[in-house]
Amino acid sequence: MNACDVGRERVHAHFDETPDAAASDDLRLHLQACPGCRELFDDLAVLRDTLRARPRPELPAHDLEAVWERTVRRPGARWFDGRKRAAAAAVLVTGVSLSTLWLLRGPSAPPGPTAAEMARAEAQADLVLSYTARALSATRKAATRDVVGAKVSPAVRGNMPRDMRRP
Amino acid sequence: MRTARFLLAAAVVLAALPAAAEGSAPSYPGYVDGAVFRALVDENDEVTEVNLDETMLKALGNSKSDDEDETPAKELFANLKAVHAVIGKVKGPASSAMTLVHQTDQRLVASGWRRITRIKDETTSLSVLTHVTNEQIDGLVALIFDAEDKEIVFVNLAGQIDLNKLGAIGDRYNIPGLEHVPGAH
Repeated sequence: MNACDVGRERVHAHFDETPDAAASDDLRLHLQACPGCRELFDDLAVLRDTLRARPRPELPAHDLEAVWERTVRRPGARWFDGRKRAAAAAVLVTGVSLSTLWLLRGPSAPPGPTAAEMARAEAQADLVLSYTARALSATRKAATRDVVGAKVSPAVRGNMPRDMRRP
Repeated sequence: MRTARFLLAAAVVLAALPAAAEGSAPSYPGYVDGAVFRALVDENDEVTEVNLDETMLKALGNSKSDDEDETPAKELFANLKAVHAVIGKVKGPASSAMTLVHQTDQRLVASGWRRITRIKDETTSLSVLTHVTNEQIDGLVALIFDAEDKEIVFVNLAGQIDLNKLGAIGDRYNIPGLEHVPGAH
């Protein structure tokens, strides 16, 4: 980057950042030594003054209305905003409820049966299983006696234990 | 309108949450309510009522033991969802209890239960029924009534039941031959 490029950057920075202030000492020294940058400086000053001198007409009401219609009030924008708000509300309410439910259920969850409860349950389960086993045993005896002994073969019946033979 | 629908849906979800939190009565396929037998037994005499839920059965199934004979029983418990039993003496005439046992047996068969056996003579009635879903036994009911001493036994196991394991349990109760029970592989 040569010295003139640096000078042009300073000229642009001056009009971008402090357009109404006087040029700094460094910039004034450069403008005195560089005709190109001085010409740029003068052109930008004329452009600034010309733009500021132009009248500023008000935006017609119907044009303003058209802008509103195409941006904020358009159907897509309304649908998006309404749906988004409702969905966010539903998600928020459900999330809070689930969190509350989790908090309520968490501490109240039973820590597990005690040793006494386990012993009692084991005895009860033992009792139930013994009755179930006896019922199944009766099932097996009945099946052997009535199905095998009576219907299949007298030879098989002859080999049956005495207590399973039909009277 | 759309917002109202969203709020309505959220309200429905919220209304359903308390019900989910409270839990509900057992609704397993192999579950049979034994309330009718509880009402039948004489409360003034010895009554045994067993209600073991899935949590307790899992705990029994996972409990440690050095006795290898208990292993089949533990494996059986671990797969059960509920065990209910009522054992006691009936307070009314024996014939009424015999009729109730018979009706219960008939009702279960009518609702799809498979009867493994039904043995009945002048004084004794015994029924064993299983509930099967997709070729897997998920319920067992044993109904035993002895008219002489008026003792009634109602047993219901709900959950995955392996009859082979029940056969192995026979040794524990000195009941040989259970491995040959019809239905066991």
